[in-house]
Formats: sequence, C-alpha cells, structure tokens
Amino acid sequence: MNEILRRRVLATVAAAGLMAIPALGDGPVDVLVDLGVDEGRAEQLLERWQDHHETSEDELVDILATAIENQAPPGLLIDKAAEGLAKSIPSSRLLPALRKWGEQIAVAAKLAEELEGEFDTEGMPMQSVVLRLHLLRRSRVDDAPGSSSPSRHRMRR
Amino acid sequence: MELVGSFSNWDKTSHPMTLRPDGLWQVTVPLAEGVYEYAFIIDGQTWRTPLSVSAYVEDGFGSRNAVLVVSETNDGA
Repeated sequence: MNEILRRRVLATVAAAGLMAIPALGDGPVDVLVDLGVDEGRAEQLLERWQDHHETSEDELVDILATAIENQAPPGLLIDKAAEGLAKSIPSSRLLPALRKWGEQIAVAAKLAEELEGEFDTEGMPMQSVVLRLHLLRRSRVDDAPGSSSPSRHRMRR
Repeated sequence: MELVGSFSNWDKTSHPMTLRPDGLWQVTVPLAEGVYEYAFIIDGQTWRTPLSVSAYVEDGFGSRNAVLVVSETNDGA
C-alpha cells in the first residue's frame, strides 16, 4: 500500500470513528432539559427509572417529550412519573398511564391558555392552574348525566 | 408513617410523621400556593389514601390520592 492510499484509508477510518461518537447533548437528560424540564429533576427521574426498571428509558423519554410538545407542563409530567416510580408501578402499566396523563394534561393546558386572564388564579403558578382545571374538568365528566359512578373528585372553589 | 406527595417529588423518606400522645400522626410541611396530591406510607411499603379529606383524585395507577389546594383565599381543599 503506497503512502497516499494508506493516508486515505486512515482518514476514512478516522471519519467513520468520529461519526460513531454520539453528538454532545443528545442523552436522555439533555432531551428532557431541552424541552424545559429542570435538569436536577430529569436526572433524578431517570436514576429512579434505572433503579426500578431493567428496560431502557427511551420510551419514557419519548412519552414525556410528546406530551411536552403538545403543551403539557413538564413539571406535572415529571410529578406523575415520579409518583409511579415511587409506587413501584411496573413499566407495562406506568408507561400507558403516563401517556394518558400527558394527553389529559395537554388538554387542560390548552384550556388554561384559552382562559388566561378570565379567572382568578388565586396566586397559583400556571402548573397548578392547569392541574386544577384538569381536576375540575374530570369532576364535570364524572358528574355528567349517565355517569355510572359518583364523583370522588370534588374540589372546593 | 410517612407523608408522600407531589410537594416532595414523591420522595418516600423526606417527610416522616411523628405519633403524638393523643394517637394522631403529625408532620408540618410549609407549602406555597398550588395544588398538591399526597398519600401516606405505612411501615415503609404500604400506601394508604388519607381518610376524611374533602377531595380525592384517581392517581392513574388504580388507586387514589388526596388533593390539597393552597391558595390566597383558602388553605385547603
């Protein structure tokens, strides 16, 4: 192999090696931080996931990312995920529950945005306003005519 | 007995309760305005939904949490 060819082969190998190195900032914590999740909470959540589950956290991150992109407040999603992990819910139940929670909270967040300025938030942060709207909305659904179960979600206004 | 909830990121050990002489369990938690969900843990592993609270919510995992609303106009749900 002559010297020029040898250098080309080495350069190609080096380039392939560089391409194989993951880009900085695309780990699961970084994905969540980029979406607005507090870094400390993201790290804590993923550590808890790894403590409880042998499966990859990829699906968890994907569910959270989808919900956040649909306007669900990141803090409420992290809260619910942390709750599920604290309660040792298996991933087969935790992930579908989180997906559903994300969809419901995203709806409440859009409602809060539409109603912004039209009601008294009583000093609460927007995350709590969204959660409260979600709970009240569920109460209305449960109290609707034909609902099979009595409401257990009443909240004093 | 432990108090666990969204106010502590569902940390199972951050708010241990103490048994008072009158038989009630107690813990004091300073809270800012907001909506909080919470439950109790007995003996480090058994989750219990508090009784005699004015609001509950399904937790999405087949159980219920108590709900506490802290606002400028009231101090509980």
